Amino acid sequence: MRTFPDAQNTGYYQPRFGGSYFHPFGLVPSFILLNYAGSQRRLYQPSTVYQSSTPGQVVTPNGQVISNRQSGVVTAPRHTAAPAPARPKGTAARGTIRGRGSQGFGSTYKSTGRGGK
Amino acid sequence: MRPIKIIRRPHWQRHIRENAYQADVLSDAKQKYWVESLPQPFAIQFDTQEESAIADATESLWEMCVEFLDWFFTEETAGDVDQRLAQLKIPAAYWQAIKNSWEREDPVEDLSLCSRFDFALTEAGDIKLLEINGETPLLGAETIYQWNWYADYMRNHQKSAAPLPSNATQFNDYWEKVAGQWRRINEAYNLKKTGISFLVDESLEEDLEMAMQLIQILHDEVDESIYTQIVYLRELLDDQGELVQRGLGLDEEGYFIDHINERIPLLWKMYDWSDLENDMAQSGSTEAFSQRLAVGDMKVIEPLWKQVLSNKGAMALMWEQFQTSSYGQYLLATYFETDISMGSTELAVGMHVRKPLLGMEGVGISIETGVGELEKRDNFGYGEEGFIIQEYVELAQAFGYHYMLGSWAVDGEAAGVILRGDTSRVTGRHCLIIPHIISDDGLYIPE
Repeated sequence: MRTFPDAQNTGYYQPRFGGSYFHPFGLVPSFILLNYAGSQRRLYQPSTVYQSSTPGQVVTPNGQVISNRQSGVVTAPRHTAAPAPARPKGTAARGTIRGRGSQGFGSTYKSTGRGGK
Repeated sequence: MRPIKIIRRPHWQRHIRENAYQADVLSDAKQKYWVESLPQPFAIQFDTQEESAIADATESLWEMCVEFLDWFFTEETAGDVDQRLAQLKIPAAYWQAIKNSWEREDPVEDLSLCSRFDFALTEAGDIKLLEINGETPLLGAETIYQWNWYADYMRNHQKSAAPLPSNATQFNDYWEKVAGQWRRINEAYNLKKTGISFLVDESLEEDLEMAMQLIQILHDEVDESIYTQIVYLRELLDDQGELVQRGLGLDEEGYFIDHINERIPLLWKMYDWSDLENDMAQSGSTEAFSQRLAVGDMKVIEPLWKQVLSNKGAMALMWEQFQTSSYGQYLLATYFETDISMGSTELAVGMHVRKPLLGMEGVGISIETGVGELEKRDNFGYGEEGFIIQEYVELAQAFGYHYMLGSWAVDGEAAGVILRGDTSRVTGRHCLIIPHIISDDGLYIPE
């Protein structure tokens, strides 16, 4: 799947644009129910979107305009903008997993400030 | 080297949104991160001799880094290496792992993707190394966008009030060189078999943008069927506070674990080794983690040996080693703050810059006059590990901005440059990205 229109100028580097969105509302909610740690959770399915020719608007691959529930720039993560390659066969973790939570990764990081880049 | 006026292109923000990662911040006129958000946009023009000099300095300094690391990890008398590692405040539990990371060759060495040197370019034409961004070199997306700006300008705006010289080029091989290094990494690590996980801090948009830029290069230029995934440092929550994806973990054998509890064979990270080490101390996992790293079957980009290069204490050791060599022309006098030698004392009583051993984006840096501070950045908690003092050098200025040059080194070769300006003498997070061109036009007075 190409992630930018064929007619678009490709004379220079083209990022894959669009991103993904979660669509928890509407007639057909896009989530499945999952039993996790004894409770039922909603797992939302991310859907691929593309930039519309109208600035700030995104559309589905079928051309449906997605309404933005919040004002401001669309900041959907872009890492699901292209179909993911197959995941290689992995190796399961062994033993207790540490490093998650308030004592884990990211817990001692000192910020360098907010805003800017 | 001279500043030149350029136009603010009509629809410049749209062009950024359609052609850049880091698009939100680059296109935000309020943040003044990209030069077209200024009332008078400008670029910097270098001539071809200056371009060659920057490339020579970059490649020469990379050779120096390799020589330095060979010296750093060579035990001439017992305890030498440990003493140096202690001087950089690297925790002892990781000493063996870090030594192995530099020495490892079998089955394959611990490969780096890229590094970025920050240079001061003086009015006198000197190139001076300010610091080495060895571990977490951001600005890749900005480097590529400035090429897109250049291509768009040359194609569509040469009839404007401020055309670029018709023979203008740009020193920007970042895409091609990074693609080349991805190919080497793919060949050595067999990415089709392992995939690659990109670790980003979920609260920092720039980490994700940088990761996505690198994924695009990997997929476009090497193999689009290589599996990639984003791994978050803590956890990713949706706007309702619900968990979307668990964060990075570590299993009992010291392997990084992803959100579905599988081991991560190859991790690219935008997070310092020193922070990972501190985090693991906090969670009681230092032993498992350091032993796994010493074995080296879990690959990380940038590799553990880069922790030495990105530590500002390395700048003091480099000065000690190379000040009288041919590399010395690019170095600034630098000492540990605790050094009481003649050279250090002379520097301390005059104008100098004080920098924490760790830290980035200018945090904790102050310009000292010997009798007090001239300028100072917030330290955000950095500096407990100690400081270096470095000779002060005035950055070049244009349109009210002091600017420095980031020069990319990939596999020992110069790979292009990116300029950052700041109204402060200390370049920080809220800086200005300034594009550049290369041309000899207009720089010589005709005879």
